[in-house]
Amino acid sequence: MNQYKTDWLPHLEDAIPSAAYGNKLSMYLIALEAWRRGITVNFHNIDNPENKVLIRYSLEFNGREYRFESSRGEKLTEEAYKSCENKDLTKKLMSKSGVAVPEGKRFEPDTDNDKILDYAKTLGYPVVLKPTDTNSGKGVFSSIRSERELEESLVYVRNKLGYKDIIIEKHVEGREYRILLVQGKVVGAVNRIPANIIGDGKNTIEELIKLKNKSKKGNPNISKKLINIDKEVLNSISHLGYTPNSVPEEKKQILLRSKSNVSTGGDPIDVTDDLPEELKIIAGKAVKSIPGLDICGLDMIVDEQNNSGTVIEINTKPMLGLHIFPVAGKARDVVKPIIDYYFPETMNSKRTNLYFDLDNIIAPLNNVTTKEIRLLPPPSLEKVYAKSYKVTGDFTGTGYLSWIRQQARKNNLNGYVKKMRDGQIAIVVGGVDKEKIEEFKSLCYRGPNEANVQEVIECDWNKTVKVGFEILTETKAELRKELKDQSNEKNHFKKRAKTFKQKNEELQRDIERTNQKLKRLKKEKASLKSEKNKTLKEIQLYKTKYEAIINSRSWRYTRLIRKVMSIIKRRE
Amino acid sequence: MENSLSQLKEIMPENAYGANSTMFSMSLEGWRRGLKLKFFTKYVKNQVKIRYTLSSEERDITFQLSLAETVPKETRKTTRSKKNTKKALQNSNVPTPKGKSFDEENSDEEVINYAKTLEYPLVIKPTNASLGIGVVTGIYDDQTLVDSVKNLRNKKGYKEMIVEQQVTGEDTRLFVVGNQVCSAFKRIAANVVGDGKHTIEELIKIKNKERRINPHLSKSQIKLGKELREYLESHGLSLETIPQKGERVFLNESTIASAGAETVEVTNELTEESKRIAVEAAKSLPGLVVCGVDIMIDKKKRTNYVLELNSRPNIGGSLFPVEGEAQNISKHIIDYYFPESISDDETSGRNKLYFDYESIEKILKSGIVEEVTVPSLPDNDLVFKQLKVSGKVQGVGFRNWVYKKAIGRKISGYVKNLKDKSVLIVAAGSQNKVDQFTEVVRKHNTKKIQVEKVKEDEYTEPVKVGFEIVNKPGKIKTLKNNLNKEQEKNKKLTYELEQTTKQLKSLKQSKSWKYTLPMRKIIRLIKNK
Repeated sequence: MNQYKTDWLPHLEDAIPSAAYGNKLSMYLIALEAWRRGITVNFHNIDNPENKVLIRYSLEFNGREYRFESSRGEKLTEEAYKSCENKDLTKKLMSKSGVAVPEGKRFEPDTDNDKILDYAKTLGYPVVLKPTDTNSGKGVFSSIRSERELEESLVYVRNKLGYKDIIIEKHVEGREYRILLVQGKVVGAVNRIPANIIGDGKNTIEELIKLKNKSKKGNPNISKKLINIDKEVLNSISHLGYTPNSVPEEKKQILLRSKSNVSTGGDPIDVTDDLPEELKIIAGKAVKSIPGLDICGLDMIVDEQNNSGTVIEINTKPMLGLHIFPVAGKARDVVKPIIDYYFPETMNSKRTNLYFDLDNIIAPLNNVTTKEIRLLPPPSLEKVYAKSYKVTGDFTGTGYLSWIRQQARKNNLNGYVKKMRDGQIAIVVGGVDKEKIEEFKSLCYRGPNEANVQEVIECDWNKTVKVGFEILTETKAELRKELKDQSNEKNHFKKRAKTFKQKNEELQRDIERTNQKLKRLKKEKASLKSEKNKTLKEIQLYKTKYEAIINSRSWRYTRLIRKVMSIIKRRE
Repeated sequence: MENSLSQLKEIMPENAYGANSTMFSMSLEGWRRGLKLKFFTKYVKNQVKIRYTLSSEERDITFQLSLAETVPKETRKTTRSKKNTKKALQNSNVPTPKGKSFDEENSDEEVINYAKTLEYPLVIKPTNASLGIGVVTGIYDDQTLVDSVKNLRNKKGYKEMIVEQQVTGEDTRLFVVGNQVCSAFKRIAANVVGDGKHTIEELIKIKNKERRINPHLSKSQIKLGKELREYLESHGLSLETIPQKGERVFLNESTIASAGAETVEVTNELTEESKRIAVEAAKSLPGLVVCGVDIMIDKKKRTNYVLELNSRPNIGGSLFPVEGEAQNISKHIIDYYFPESISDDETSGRNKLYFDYESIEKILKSGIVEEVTVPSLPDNDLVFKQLKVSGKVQGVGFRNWVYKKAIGRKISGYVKNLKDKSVLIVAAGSQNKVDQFTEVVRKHNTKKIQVEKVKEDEYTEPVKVGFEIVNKPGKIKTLKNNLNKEQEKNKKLTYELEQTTKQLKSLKQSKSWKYTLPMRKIIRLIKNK
């Protein structure tokens, strides 16, 4: 799977601003769904002892306000939160309810490594080492094969990373599933495949990793979860008998890590429809075993032959992007059930298809120039109808762009106006009032007084529209691309100019050559002419001489004799 | 005080120039005292308007520029009508110029006949226009009177108007806050002061440059037009005249800012009588606690005629006068509304910090945000430091690292690379956080980044809230420049190409070329063989 699919949910198509790519995705997805239903969204940064900039948000409707951190909201009870933060406690609770969990033990910070190694021996390798309270696979070693490896890993996790409190458990073989549950109901399931590449018989492993990372960029969920060629990856490669420079054969899949976390480069594939009922029951049981747990991402190792599963972890702040932007399978709208759960009264409410910009909102929160930003509700919850207009004409210095923006804002329309490099102006307008959108064409024609509009071309616009109306300027990336195009064009021109020049020179040379020949021929012609004249003169001379002879007296007198002579000749 | 005001001009972003300078300086004054500050948008006639709320523990007050929403609506409405204002002033026995107002029901003749009973010169003001629009001054005879009345009423459509005697003196704006006059400036017509070297035209250009960087005057320039030339001519001058050193040359007679008028601070020259009248004028309307009172003050005749009341005065003229000492009216207004915030502590450094108005206005104007809360001032004492860091610190990601360390500690300032390969950090924040930060910077040593020396100094300039990585000026600008250059080159090349193509064509069409066609064919034939 080196190329990802990009079939997104239609209402999210092109609606993810760049600031939402990466770890702010869950926040944006929830905030967007809420905002689209008319729920008030408030972003803010919070004070914290770790000296970090942490952005949180809250949703408010009908006087009820809930604070959120990423996908974890305030409805989660403190008790449930604590039970899930401590992985040992989570396991105990699940085990009590009859959910299969890996056999293992927790070791407190003051335990010696020797004691841990002894325990691992009784458990039998391979084992898993994980800190008791970290998230997203930090410090987790999921397949330790030998005592030596475990010892090294222990030193690394406990001393270098500083997670002294750890869990050792039996490594369970099988496929790993991430199941998302809202109020005990499965709303999405993905099979997570560890960071991997598939050979094409041409590229080296290193090149394949680079290609894969490049293809990740377009997926909001994994665009920043790239595969780094680190120690673990190098180990996995060498275990399989390769080096980064090996060229794997076509269609050969190579797993680069043993743990399947998406944050270290893993691939989520949607399997919701194929999830066996047995596993759903196990997942439901696991959630029930922890009192107060409402929304969670559950990690399960599945024995596919027996349809049995071992739950290895429960996450109360699950990545929603796994299900909404899977790399294969069907995209699932897992946000809807979450907002339905928090604000059931909005379950069937109308929803606008506008989206809001995050980039400009996050920036001032990120550098702490603002403390809190509350969004305006969408202008209307009705569906937005949109058109795009391309305008040609002469606009320089007429303020056409700001005039258009003014008109759009006056009419409560959303979208943008942008001056293109070629001088054309691109406009996208969207609003609930279809008539206004159609009428906007005539406004495009009109423009401010000084503008001289020649043509307005109308096109349909089926993509989502960003709320508000803005004048877009060229981004750095666009400028760079334009620069590249221009220099390409320049080179092209240069080439053409060169060939033209060559042709030109050739032609000139040709002409010169022919001209010279012409000259020579003319000369020849002239000399021939003079020769001809000379000959003609000579002929004339002979003619006169001849006539003179004929007309002479002796000629006449000898006529008789010549006659006789000819008769005699004939007779002979 | 003087210092903080001169800094105000420095730190004021350009989008706060003009009327918003009032909002900027008032909100800044409140915020610096530790009041909570929130900006929010309001849609008025489909335009995004910005309002702000200052809150202390005792109260929240929302402002629209200098106007608090606690001022009664009726009062605001009255101040917008010259006619009703005049009535209220007269009721309170505040001196106003002799005159009368007229409306649609009055005929032109009625207006003219009344006007003739007054002593010339007269002035006519449309009742419901602001900013001096439509006002005709200096009417000295019947003919001008008739023309002006007819023009205003019939051509320009101002049916409602006030006709009054033009009073003499200097047009002075007094700011009343509570029971006090806290500032006053007079407006003088557009003018230049000679230096014995430059022509009037040159002096105007110099003046316009100065106006452009004055937050109060930047939006109006002195126009070099026909009117100006005629005015100068009527005074025996021209644009080419070189006025003597110190000689003031007026360029028109208007005291309206848009016509190039200037403000001269005159607070210290006011008589007690003028002040008393201003306070009484403000009191003529209920709840008008902050008021801009326009008075025509004639020092010789000792008359003070109140012309107008303004419930939402622009305080920029006092903050940034062209002449005279600037007055911090914001301070007086905030003192009045939030007496609990008055403090003598000028040493905490809070007056050196300012918030990022530019970014805030930008997101509010984007039309998607309803409300923005400005981060509060740190409670503890603020320190301002600059660190000059040398070592292996450029091109190794040091600035990004500094950014993260600073921003989490809510340290404001910036980091930038210097030419000598060192890095400059400006850090403002609470004492313990800045100390922590300095320690972290000093000890930073990794494979990539090595901090060798840190030179620590006090930083004395104002600092904007938030932390910035200062990049070399305008990367995007250079890109754009390059692009434009490339486009130029391409244009040239295209032109050359066209020229060559033309040449080629003309060559092909030349007679010799045509005539030699058979020959060329033969040659080619021979060549081919």
